[in-house]
Amino acid sequence: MTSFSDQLHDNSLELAWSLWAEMGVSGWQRHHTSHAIDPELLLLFTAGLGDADPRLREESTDWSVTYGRYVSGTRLRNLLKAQRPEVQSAFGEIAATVSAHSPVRWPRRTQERRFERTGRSVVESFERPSLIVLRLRAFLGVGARAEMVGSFIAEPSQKFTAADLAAETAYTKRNVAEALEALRMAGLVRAAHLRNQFQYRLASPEVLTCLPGEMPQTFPRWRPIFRILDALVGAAERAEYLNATTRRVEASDVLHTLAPDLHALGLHSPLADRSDGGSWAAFESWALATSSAWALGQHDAAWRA
Amino acid sequence: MTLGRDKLEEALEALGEVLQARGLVYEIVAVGGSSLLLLGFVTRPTRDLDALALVVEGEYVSARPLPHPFTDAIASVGRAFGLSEEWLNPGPTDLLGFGLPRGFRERVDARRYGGLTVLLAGRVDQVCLKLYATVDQGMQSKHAADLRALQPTPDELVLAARWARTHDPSEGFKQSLLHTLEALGMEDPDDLV
Repeated sequence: MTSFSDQLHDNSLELAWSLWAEMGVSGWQRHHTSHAIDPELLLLFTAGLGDADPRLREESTDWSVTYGRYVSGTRLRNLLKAQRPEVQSAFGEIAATVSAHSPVRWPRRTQERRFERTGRSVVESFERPSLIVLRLRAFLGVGARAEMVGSFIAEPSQKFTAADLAAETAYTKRNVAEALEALRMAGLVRAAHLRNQFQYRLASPEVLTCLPGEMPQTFPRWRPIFRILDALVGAAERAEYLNATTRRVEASDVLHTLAPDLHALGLHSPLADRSDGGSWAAFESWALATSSAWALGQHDAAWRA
Repeated sequence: MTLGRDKLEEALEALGEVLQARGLVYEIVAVGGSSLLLLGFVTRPTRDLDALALVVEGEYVSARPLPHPFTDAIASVGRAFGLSEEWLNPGPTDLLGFGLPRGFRERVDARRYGGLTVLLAGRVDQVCLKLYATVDQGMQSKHAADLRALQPTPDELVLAARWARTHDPSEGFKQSLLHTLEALGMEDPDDLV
């Protein structure tokens, strides 16, 4: 029988493969044709999977060699700060390998690995709905401005401050403020003074209709999704060495730590309503159902609150 | 949520296992209602377990603050079992500064739960602590009920009263102490204390 940990690993790999296939990597399954993909977070999530699937690692590196110029080094640098040391280390090798085979220079490069290009990663254009982020970068350049536009597309009726968008996009507040000012000057957004800061909103939803290609149906909050998956896999691995009581405490601890991420996705803790504090079985069942829904791109999965 | 004896035992076993799984070992001295519950002297549920001291290299030291890895484990178990995150706390540890009844250490009852050892204050010492608390909180308090449940002998009450006086030698405290002893059925306590 496959262990809980193995099943979670499989779901994580299935998700990564599907997203990379969407990005143009040679893969069999594409479950996320209408889900906007975040390339930097996907790269870091893939690094966190380590050597669990060598082919995924090779093919995603191959994609990065070809299309790495559309990936933001600034975002990678900012996002890496919050990653586990193991992820930072694995990413360092990927960055060094990509650098050795292309002009792309990502931060935190360490030692390159042996790598031979397969050339199987091909994407004719970024017109797929899922590639909206890459499409915007191809159009507006790799930088904060493209990310700002992406955020406004994701939530066209939402008002944002520079601080909101800096947290959302992993660019510095200064970069975000400069990009917002440029978009305001271009007439794409309007600014309104609120207390001691500005709130920005789209000048009109119509301004986005000039963008080529189809829009995705959903803009998943990948940061909490990947963080939750990473934490669940870690808990499942640790639980293999724990007894029933300590597993119960482990489940409760993980869900407590993940509370802000669950909230961001509109998810409730599976143990919240249990007067007995919850059981490991309930935790396992919830973790597998949630990770499977994400891996398969199910429309009713919690992509964002 | 309150702690009955079974729930308290379950939480302590879980805490001991969590500490062990995290490679941690702690030893505490426990007093108060929960310790009486564990010793079987009372049955009333309590809210928390009072740590009088932390045992470090054989010495009793102040339990405030408890070490962070210990409070993390306490909070983890509290959340998992639907208890307060501070269900084990150093509430009464200031008592340590005034001195414990003579022979306290020899009378403790040691309970081991994985990485946690709980030294439960002996019955006579519980009488001392509960008499002191009863003088402070009155005969309607839970401390008075616990003291009665301990069924102290007159000699034990005299011993406890003399110890309590070392904590507070004031005349006001002495008068309250004498009233408390009378309320507990002692005759002419003034001659004995």
